[in-house]
Amino acid sequence: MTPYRPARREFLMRALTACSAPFLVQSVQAQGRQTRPTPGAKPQRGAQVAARFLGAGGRDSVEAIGEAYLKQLGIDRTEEAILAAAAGTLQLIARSPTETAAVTALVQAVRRDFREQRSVQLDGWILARTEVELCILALLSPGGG
Amino acid sequence: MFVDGRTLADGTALEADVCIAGAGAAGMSIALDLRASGLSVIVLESGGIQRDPEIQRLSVGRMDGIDTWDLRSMRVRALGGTTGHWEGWCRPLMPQDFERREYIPNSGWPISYAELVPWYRRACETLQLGSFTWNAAARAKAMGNLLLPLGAAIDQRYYQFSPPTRFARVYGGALEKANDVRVVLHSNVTDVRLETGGTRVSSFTCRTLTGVTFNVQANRYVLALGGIENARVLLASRSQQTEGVANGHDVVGRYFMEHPHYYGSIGIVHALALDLAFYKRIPSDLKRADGTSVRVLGALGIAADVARREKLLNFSVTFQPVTAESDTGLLAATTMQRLVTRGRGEGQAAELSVRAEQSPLAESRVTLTDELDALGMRRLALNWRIAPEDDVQMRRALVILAGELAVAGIARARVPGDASRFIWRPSPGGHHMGTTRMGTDPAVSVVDANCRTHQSENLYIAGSSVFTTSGDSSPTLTIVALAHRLADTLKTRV
Repeated sequence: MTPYRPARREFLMRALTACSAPFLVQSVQAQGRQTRPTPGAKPQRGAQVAARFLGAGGRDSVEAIGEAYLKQLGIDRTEEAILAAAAGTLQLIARSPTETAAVTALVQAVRRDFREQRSVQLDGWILARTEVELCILALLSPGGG
Repeated sequence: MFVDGRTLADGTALEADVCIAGAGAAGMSIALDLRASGLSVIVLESGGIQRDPEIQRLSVGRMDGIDTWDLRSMRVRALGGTTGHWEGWCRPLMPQDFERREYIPNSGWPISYAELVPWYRRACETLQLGSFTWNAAARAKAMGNLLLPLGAAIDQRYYQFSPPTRFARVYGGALEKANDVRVVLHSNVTDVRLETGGTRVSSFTCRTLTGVTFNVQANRYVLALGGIENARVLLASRSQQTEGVANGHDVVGRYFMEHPHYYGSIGIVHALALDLAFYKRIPSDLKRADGTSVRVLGALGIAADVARREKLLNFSVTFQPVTAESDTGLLAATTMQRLVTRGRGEGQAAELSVRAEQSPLAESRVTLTDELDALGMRRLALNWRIAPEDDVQMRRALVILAGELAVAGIARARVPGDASRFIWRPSPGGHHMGTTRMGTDPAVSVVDANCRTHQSENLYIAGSSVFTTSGDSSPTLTIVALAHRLADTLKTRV
């Protein structure tokens, strides 16, 4: 289970604001307004977009890639760490008005990553930074951990 | 005609206009061309018509560097040489392979691709290939296949496959019938003798395993013994010069090159249902003289301009589908399949086979040991080395290829190692090159642009030992092209 840390909400707000992710900021703010922060609270839309991009099924695969990336980065599987590590992709999602638009932007971003050599190597596989960031974001979705 | 050297009287002296040592692809191609040219020709062949284990043992050598195939079995000492067991892979070297690339030390042939094209065309006939056309897009279109939709950074290329031509079977009869060509079987060159002054060869001393010694005197001499034996014979010919023949600058035996092959270590996952027919070894629209179809195999490489910009050696990649489930990596191919397909449809795993160029390296070399073979010749030691920089280049090239496959939305690829190391172990291709390399500077080469040794004006060398750089292409087509070119040179100079 993800450990709860009292300063998490503040951290999330700073991280999301810094990467200009208005809908995620709104989401977190809304959660704060409507309910007590709970240990399991997650920025749902980012995770939903990630899940939609990565398609139905294959959750184990996505998790395996996400876990491998976190391990390579040397960071724990915490919301704070994941949001910080996936800041670039969150920013891209946030700029998209709809989930469909976000997925389209992500497809382009993956190709742009390869074209501009922003790749990540995991167990030898050459992957786009955007797609591995989506895999760690997917760890935040319900059932993803 | 065929003569068995074992039947000659000890001390016999044979004479001809041209003496060719070696009846493999190079030696036989030259001999075939010199028929009816007005020149008398003697071809010396270590073996007989059939392979013989006792004769093969003459090739035994010590491995000091990267392991390569057992030399005793790799090169065939019999009529037809190694064409007796080759697989028929053919592609010419590429134009950039002949050029000087400043990031590859000692690169740059003294001849260009364009200069060799007329003989490449003739070599295609000799090796029973289709026409000398190498445009992959045109070939695929003519065959009704599609090329993978890759960007301009990827060079699409293809191999043609010889039946494969077994020279002994296909051309042995023609040489046997030729009145002006004597093929002396079971005869090994053990010493290259020089005239006083050392600038011309006076004779080849030959021995048989039965103890017969004879010599051949000619106006022109050709060593066509293979990428290792050419160097060995020159180094072992120390009866008059302690450093051997044509070795005044200590270059003979150096710059040994192989084609490092890397098999199966890359997983690759196709996101789409792709037409991969062109990338399988299939019959093409290219026809041989007898009407049979030439098989072709599509391959991928890096475009010449990108390779130059990124400072890359040449390489080609072929692939074949495998089941993703056979992959057992930490992140298995099945895992990547789900990522790449994004949950839509089936993917397909494949293994890549990489055939790579290596940098010519002076320390990668053939030398002689103190051990003697059955003829009393010193055995060889082979120290095959690959420059560490080659590994770095190879890895970068594969990462670029992986990126291009991904940009095209086709696949994800796995490259062993990380940015600091390339952990793929090379396998040899059985291609021995570079030990009597071609060049203009005698300090770093053994033969000139006409395959004539810098130091002996009537001694020529044929075969892949003259390759200045290796490219990634299988060498036989270039060996035969250079042999035809040398035959034309000999016709005009004798």
